[in-house]
Amino acid sequence: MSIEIGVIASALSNVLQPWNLAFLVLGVVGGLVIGIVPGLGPTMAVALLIPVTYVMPPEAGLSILIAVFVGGMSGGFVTAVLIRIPGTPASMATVLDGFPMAQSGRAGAAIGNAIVANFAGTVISAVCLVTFAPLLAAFALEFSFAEYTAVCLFAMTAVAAITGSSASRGFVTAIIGMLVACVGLTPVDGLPRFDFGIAALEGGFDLLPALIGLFAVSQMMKESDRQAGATPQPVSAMASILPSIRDVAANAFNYLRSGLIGTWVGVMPALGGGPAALIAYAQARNASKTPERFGHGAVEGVIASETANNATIGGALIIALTLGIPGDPTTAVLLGGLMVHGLQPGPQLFLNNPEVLYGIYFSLFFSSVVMMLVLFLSVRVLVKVIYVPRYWLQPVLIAMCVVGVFSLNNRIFDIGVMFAFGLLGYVLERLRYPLPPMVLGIVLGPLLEANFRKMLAADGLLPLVTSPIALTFLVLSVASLIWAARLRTKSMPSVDAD
Amino acid sequence: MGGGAGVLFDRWVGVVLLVAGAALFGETFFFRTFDWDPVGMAFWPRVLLGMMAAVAIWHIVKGRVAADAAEPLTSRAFAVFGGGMVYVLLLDIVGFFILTPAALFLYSLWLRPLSARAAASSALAALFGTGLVYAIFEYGLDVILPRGILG
Repeated sequence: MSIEIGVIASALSNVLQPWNLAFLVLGVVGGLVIGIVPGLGPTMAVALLIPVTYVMPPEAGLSILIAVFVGGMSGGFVTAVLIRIPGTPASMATVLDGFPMAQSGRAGAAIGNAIVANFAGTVISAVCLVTFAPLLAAFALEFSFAEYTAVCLFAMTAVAAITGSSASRGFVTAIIGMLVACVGLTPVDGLPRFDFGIAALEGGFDLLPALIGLFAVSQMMKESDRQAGATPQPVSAMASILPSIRDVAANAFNYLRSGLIGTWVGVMPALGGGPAALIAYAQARNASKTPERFGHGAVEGVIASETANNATIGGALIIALTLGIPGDPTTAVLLGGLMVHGLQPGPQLFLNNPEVLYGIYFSLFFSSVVMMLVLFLSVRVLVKVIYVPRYWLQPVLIAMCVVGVFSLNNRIFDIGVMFAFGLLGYVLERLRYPLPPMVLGIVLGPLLEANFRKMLAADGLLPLVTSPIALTFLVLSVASLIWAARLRTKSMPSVDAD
Repeated sequence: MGGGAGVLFDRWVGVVLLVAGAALFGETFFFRTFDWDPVGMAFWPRVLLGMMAAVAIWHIVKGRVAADAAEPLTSRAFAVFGGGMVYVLLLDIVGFFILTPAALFLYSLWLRPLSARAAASSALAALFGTGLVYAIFEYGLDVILPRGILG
């Protein structure tokens, strides 16, 4: 895979088109707004935007989705610092020191340093993405049926094992996801199954209504309980939000370490921004000469958390683009966006659509710059969005969901599918059954089935152990299962105690 | 979900999965088969259903597989789903331009304490929401929304 200057120049000029830049800015602002509102997050933001991008060229559409992703991931720290409620789960660790900083009159410093940390995290992970994704894609080009089968198995076991409190609950939702993907035409035979004589089911469930249902509609169902008596939280006052050069310089290594941790965690399927921020926070505390300040308003804690959670974006994109394995739910939805535009994630994307890939790289860099500028210039205005009553916001969001889903195929059936998946997502989440494995099941199920069946038809099961790559991934799958079992054993006493 | 049923909710999930899985397994015998395809299109769903049955039995035996408790399922959340399905059933008949503002108005009003002022601002939110999606999708993206009784 050689570097093609012409393609890079074309992708850059595409991203720099005035309309595309305007959409990118709008995407970042929209993502920030949704990220700031507690309860809404980047997954929902990207899912809502996919139908809007449907009629655009892939480069422009994906540029907006990346911008929304960056904005949505970044906005969560604002309420974490100001009102002690993380806008997204990825900013959980930011509360630990951000809110104490705000309480001691340093809200501006916490916000300013968090903005720079978000920028640094995104850029560090973007550099890793540009560097490692082509290498991994070139490696993945060697993959045949057995290797793909093993990679998919690894992704499924890893996700099911590490998400939620119980591996078996993760497996249940992963299997449900793969069964959902079984409805409609099979990937190998091209014949319908599980259609129950319903014509609309012959084509299967479209990915997008399912994802919007799981992540947006289920969220609104949950939010419907929280309306009555909800009062706005008082917001801490902000002085200057420009961080001091001393703070930025003194934390140079903290940025780098947290960025690399976030990128690495992002590569691991299904861990996402929350765990990345907590791991980076713990590392920053361990490396500090004054660890006792952590939890009482240490700016290093805010920087570590916010750098790491944004760095998961590039990490998640590395395996999503090269292998088609989503690193977190937002990336799973983003992969849905790629497919809506007729693009198949995986190594072939690097060969067939390099202009789209370079567009994604550039969008990630530009989005991080735009995100930083927008936050520095308008965080005082954006924070007012938390005062917008839910009874205004939710009707608008649900209208966007309904019409967005309808616009994909002009089918009212898809709106019903969306609400049905919303109900399924709501019930599963309330019962503590994690949704990320289900999304992965829906996305990877057809890929796994097609490769597994083709491998069986060609050579039987033997290639799974004779191919070094496949064997490695199988060993990793078993290791993740053992790890999950050990974690479960450790938590057994508390289960039994109940 | 409360009491014993709530504490052992994984057991009930296991039962539901087992019953649903058995029904789906039965359905796989109606899939088409071909002599030239030894594996067949029922193979993969059966593998998945077998795995699901194993996990479901594990849940039934254990009763509860993790320490965290389920959150209660609320009637308000089910009302959102029910309202959504009613909207789906009526959309083609009534049409987007009448049904959507009405549905959004009722939805917004339902989310807050009832008053004349609330009704007025909910009406505004409904009109704004409908207008916004209409502008984006019908003008911006050339999506023809269902006209219903307006023709």
